[in-house]
Amino acid sequence: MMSMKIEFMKRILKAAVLLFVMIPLGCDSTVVSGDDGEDVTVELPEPPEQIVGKNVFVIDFFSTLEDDGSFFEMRAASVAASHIAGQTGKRPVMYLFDRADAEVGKSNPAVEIALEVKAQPFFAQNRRSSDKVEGTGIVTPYMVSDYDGAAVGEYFMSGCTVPVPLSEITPVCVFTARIDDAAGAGKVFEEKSDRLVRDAVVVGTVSRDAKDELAELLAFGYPTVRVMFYGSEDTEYDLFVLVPGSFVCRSIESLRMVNLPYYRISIEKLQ
Amino acid sequence: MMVLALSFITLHAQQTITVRVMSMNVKEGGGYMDHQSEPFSEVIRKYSPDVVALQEVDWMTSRNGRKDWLNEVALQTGMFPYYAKSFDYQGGGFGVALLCRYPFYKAKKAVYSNDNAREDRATGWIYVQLPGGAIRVASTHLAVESSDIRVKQFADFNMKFFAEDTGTPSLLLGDFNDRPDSDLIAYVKNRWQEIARGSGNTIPSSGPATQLDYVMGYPKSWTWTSYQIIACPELSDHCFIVADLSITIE
Repeated sequence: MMSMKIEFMKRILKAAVLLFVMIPLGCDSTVVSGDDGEDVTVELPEPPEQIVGKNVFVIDFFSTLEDDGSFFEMRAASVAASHIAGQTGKRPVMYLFDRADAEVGKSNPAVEIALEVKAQPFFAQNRRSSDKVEGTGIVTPYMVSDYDGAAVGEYFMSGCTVPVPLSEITPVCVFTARIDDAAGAGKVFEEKSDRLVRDAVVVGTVSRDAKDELAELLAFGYPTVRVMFYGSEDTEYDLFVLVPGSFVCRSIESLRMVNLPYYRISIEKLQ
Repeated sequence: MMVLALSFITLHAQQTITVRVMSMNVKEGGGYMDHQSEPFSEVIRKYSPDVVALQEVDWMTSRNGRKDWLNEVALQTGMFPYYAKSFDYQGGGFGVALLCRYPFYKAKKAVYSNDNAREDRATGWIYVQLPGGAIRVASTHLAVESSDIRVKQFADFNMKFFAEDTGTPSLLLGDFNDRPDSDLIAYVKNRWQEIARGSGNTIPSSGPATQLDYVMGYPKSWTWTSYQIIACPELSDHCFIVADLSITIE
């Protein structure tokens, strides 16, 4: 079954791959089967060393990278709001709050933060549950019309499409997911496979147990996306950033605002 | 034989989805209440719906004091908000919205422009996973000018809505701006089921004389256990609707 899915993905990706092989950049090669059964060399361009600042956008991802309950149980949403309101320089296009868990019928921290900073809130469910819902709070300064997502059984992934102000306005969908089971993640990735190779990035966490399997799944099923992991052996989860071949994650910086640990993720859209 | 019997049960497993929905046209961004959000939140809390479809929602307009009325209601009711702007208005926006008691995993909108209409209109919808399965709930507010424009808007909406998905049970609530015997409602009912047909008038809220607000279901197999029309003339010129609905899917 897994190999059938991979074959299916390869066919979908083949057309996208051909777009990249013509780009005159250094290339990594992956071999996949073509429709006629012959091997086709997939060449993912190496990103140039030179960073073009005007094509870089930033996402702030708040997380402890642990499985230690709701992020805002011991932290104040108002501190996060102050952080957002007080930022200067290049402002993130999105703020993600890992484990900003929701309780049905109770106000959600993402809504509280959004109200304070005049932004838009969303909530990406991570796990199916009853009254308490594990998920990621999303706050973005943009009015979002397209909130895309997939729910496959117990697995979820959602995200907002925002008009990222690069050298030209570029719509980018920023998905988020919390992965404890790579096979489950594969199911939701499959639902959004067209976007994952085109205009979507995924920022989320992956448990240490699932990390290697996720890396393998991406290498085989999605040869034209780039993935970057960030974490340490002391944490239960790694941060991961998944981007299409036409983007590259340039850096992940570990920062802290009062008692709010967060990661500043810089992503460049390649010319 | 046992295996065959179990297979049959598995293949024909049925799931029932139940949901309480509410439709609220809040009249010019809650202008009757000087754009305060709490009186509307109080009504929502009283009826405790799973999903609320709102129409005439202001976002950061000068008349509402540049506030995010929808997110205020979301905070006060503990619901998850989605705003679908129809057009720019007074430095902010005017449109429809949805509030959901549970997290929704997907949301979209369709906007219709028409040279003969004085303003664009939008329909927004969300997907939510409930016990029993996923449903899609939409909030709409069609043009006030003419039935012809409304029919065109609805045809456009139908095309976009069903191009995206025909498999998910769906509900469409809101202000259709037309009477039950109109061409528009006849057209709508080609594809949609009118829930609780003939249940009552919705406008004006001070003495309802005609129906402009509806709850429509797709596919045409929704059932309802209650359908209430709630008049709050101090809040809006439209009555609100609260309905308990269910659908069984295989």
